[in-house]
Amino acid sequence: MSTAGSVSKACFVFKSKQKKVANPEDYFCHDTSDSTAQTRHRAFHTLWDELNTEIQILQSDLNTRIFDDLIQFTQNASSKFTFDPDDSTHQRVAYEIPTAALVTGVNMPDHDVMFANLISLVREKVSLYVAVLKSNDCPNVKSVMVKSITQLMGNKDMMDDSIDDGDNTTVNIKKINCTMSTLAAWYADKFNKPSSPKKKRSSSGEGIETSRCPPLVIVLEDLEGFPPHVLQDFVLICSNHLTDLPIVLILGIATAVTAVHRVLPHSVSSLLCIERFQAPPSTNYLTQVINKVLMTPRHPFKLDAKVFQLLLDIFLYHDFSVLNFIRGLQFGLMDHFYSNPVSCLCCPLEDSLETVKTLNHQNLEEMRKTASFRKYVESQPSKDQILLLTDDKHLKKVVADLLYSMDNYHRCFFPMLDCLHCLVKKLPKHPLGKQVREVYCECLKGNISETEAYKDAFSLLKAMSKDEMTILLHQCIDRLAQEDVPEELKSIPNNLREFVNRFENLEDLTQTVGDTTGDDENTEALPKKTDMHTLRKTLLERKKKKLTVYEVIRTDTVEYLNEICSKYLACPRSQPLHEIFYYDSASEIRRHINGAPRTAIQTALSNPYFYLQNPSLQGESNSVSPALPDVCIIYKLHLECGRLINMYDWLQAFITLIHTREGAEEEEDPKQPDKKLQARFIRAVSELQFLGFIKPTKRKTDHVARLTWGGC
Amino acid sequence: MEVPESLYSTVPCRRQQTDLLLALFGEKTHYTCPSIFIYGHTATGKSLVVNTVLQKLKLPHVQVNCVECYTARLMYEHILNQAGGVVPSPENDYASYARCDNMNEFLRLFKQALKETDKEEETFYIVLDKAERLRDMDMNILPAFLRLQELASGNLCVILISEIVWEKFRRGTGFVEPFVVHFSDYSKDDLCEIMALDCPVDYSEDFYLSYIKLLMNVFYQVCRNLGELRHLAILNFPKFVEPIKSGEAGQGDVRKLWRNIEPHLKKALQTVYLREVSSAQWERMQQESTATESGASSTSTPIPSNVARANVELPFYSKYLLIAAYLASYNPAKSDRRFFSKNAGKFSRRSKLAKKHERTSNQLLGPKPFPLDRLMAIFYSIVEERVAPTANIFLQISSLVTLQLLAQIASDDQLDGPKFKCLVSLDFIKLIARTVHVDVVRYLYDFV
Repeated sequence: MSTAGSVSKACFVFKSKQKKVANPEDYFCHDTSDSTAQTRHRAFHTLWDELNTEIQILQSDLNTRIFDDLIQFTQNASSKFTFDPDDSTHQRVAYEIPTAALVTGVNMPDHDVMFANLISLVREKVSLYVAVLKSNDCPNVKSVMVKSITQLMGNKDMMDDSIDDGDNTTVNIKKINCTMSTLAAWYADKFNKPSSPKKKRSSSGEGIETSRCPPLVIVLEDLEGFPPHVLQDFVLICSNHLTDLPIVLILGIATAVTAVHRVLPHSVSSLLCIERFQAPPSTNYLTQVINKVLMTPRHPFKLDAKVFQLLLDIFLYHDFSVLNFIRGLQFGLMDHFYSNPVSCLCCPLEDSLETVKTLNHQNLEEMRKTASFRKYVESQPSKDQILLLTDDKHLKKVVADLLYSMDNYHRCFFPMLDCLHCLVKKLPKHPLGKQVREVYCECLKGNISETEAYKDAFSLLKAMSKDEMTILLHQCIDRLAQEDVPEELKSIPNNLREFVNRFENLEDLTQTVGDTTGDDENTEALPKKTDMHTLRKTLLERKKKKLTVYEVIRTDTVEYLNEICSKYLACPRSQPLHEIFYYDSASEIRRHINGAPRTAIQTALSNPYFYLQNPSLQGESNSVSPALPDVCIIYKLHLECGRLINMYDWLQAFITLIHTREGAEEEEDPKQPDKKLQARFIRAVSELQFLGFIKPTKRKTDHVARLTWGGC
Repeated sequence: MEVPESLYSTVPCRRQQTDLLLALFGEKTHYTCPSIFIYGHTATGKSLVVNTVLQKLKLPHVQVNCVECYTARLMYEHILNQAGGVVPSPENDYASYARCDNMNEFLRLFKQALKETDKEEETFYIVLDKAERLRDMDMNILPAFLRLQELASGNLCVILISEIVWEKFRRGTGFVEPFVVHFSDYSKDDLCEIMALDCPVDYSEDFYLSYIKLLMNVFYQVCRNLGELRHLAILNFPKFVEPIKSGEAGQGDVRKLWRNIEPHLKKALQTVYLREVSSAQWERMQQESTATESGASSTSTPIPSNVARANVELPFYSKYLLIAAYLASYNPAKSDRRFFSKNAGKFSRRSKLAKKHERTSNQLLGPKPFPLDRLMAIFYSIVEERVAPTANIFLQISSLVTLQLLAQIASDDQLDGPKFKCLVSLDFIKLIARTVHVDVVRYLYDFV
């Protein structure tokens, strides 16, 4: 601290003593009376870790195919390179830079992960020399060159370092000229040695198949963001050195390949030999995430209809970004464990049964408070009701049972959901949607069998042809024959198979049944005396009744399907204690994930009580009261003005308002307002300007311009 | 000065220009004119001629690509390195001949470097390729290079190579007029002769020349760029010889070969200059298309059509934002009331008449800038449901800007009401609008 007495006027940095790092657990357990907080925190972590690893595996699997193609491409591109300038094949290849155009889709937040995966793959399989350029680090040619060359040359060559230390490859990057000729010299020095047996041996030992001349891969993550002239120059420079450097470009393009032509003129784009790679759309990825993470009995945490719909909407309407969806999910998970005391049981069945045993009276009281449990209690006989509400031991037993049944419900639910999806996905007009997530969302909203869409779908199913029907049934059977299907559903495939058999044996049946129906019709006589109208009606009805055998079987099948669907696809909210597993506070998520800054500012200015919670401000949302903070008064006054605001009038209005509070006793000269009030006014006005509501204008003296429209 | 005969054979069809250069250069020790300016279209052999002459005659020279030397310092040091014979290598820590920051130092060091070489009497040539970039550098560089002979008082010649005419270089003062040499375009016969040099070893030159002539008949109308034509020739040759390889036709069977190649060349004609596919991918496509023709059930379309190429999948509100931006860019602001408010009056007769005069002008004039407020107002009126003005909506505008579908102009200050322009074409917006069932044309001032 000796510097504090220094005579020089300067800023000194005093490092504070080591601050206690904020521990999330402390936040979780802020309430010491709540004993489950720690359990919940632990459960949250284990669950999130599981989900996260699963998502990451998905992510890497998703792009494997396209990455394999890309790796293949880079390997091929570099294989032709030699240092021998007389090689004829080389001469011809050298006109164009091998370029992979990776069309990534517009979900830009997800690209970082994708490129990180790609780069690590390239490093592992093709070449250690990879440079990654992002448009915001590269405003000019110099920065592009410096960035790429430092990354390429500064690469710590793992193979060389371990073997021969004398031939150290790390170069002091800061001193050198970052030009391609330097790079070429460096590359030639490294790889154009007449014989390098050492290197070869070591590389085979490492298991990396680097050819003698590994390519220099330069990845431009977002082509659209680069200034066109920078990119043009960079491509020109690269192409000048193709004879002595095996450069491979990978261009990440978010929109379409045409972007290349928009950025590069023909003279430049003809130097590229572009091959296109289309990344799978992010909707595929999302579907997989939802299937693997949410629509499975393996993970206990589930989203309720509103939250699920909200996250889906953000994805489809706003950004197509799976990363943001996962963030929303993570937030939901955290908030669920944080805010919901009963969530301590939200873990795999065995663990939750263990936890039930350790619950104390207070926890059980929480359990009793949940809405679904109360409903459950009301449905029980009155003797049980008292037991449930008073006897903790009994309650624990019941809770364990309920957890069992919940688990079982989930196990049956998802296979059935897939079946239903199989049935409805190809229907005309898609009453329940094309994607399984849409069907799932319907199920979450309420009892699906009572919805209009469901009824529409089943009436459409009743009109299906035999071939379509059998295909659908086979699909359902296949789905239900998978391993994860619980015992309870094992009988369904057999029943369905029976229906299929009946459909197939239809030909034999038609005649026999046809005869009997014919007999029936003959025996049934028409009523003797009727008017035209009733006669027509009866005839029509009879015609309707005359079903073919096929129709009979089809109706039976559909009825059966309807029955099992409505049995197993009951709304999760109808289950007792669903609060343990389902997270439903959509408003919380909306507030945190889909913020509305403008609305927030406007609320703060027009109704400061909302944020300040000061009782003196209450109920002032519509009128302008002098008790409000200055900036709020100014804001409200400015709402009454037009496009341009006269500063003097504004000041007068402000002073008048303030004076109403002070009782207007001191009569002042209005031309000479109080200095203090003037200062307050100016400060409030500049605050408003800082918030972006007004700006100074040159159009009229002593006026400011409004930047928002709409009155009060 | 004796001229090796191989010189003319390596640069065919440029005999006149080569002779001119040789005449200008004269004997090795002769003083050449201080600067020569060479211009001509792309791929007319400018650099090739100069470089081959200098290399074949073993004249001391330095080649500089002005694009690569993006600062003056790099250029000076590059010239000094080559003149002084310094090659950056790990031994010298990739250092250059000397550090050199300005023209003054450069002249001093350059004189010194020339003295060190043993060929001090011979003319030293400095070739500045892509010389138009010199104009963007410091003001003094171009005049100084033009007078280098005088300034460095040595036997030097600066050769500037550019694609644009000398008149565009005159800026500022102190210029010494260089000797201007024009490289004219190759004629059709020249092109054929040069392209025939690419003949693969397995085929006779005459056969390849006949192929080239066929190709030229198709492409000469749309493309005269040697580089592009060569690319096309190499790309399509395997297809051309396919019947020969399969034994269906002989080398002399011109008609049959032509019938085989014609449809493919027509297809290639649509994608001239685009280079969206590499040679390898092109071949794969060709194979696929032959597979489909022969009856195999391959669903992939071999060549993506123009619309499909530009297809971009956007989030729901981004589509609406883009449509709103397009409308804001191409409609005059005063017509907004008519399109988007409920009880808007019809056009009066007079305004209709006035509009007749400026019919289609908006589409021809290109997009106009519009403020954010207007974009949002149009956006809210074309989206059917209520949309909360959340951060995500505004985020999408900026991501549309990064995708270069919109452009933000002028205003650096975010608070100061930023202005945008819509950069997409009418076809593109129609495509987008169709997916959300909006009839854009109905909202466009030009088409009403």
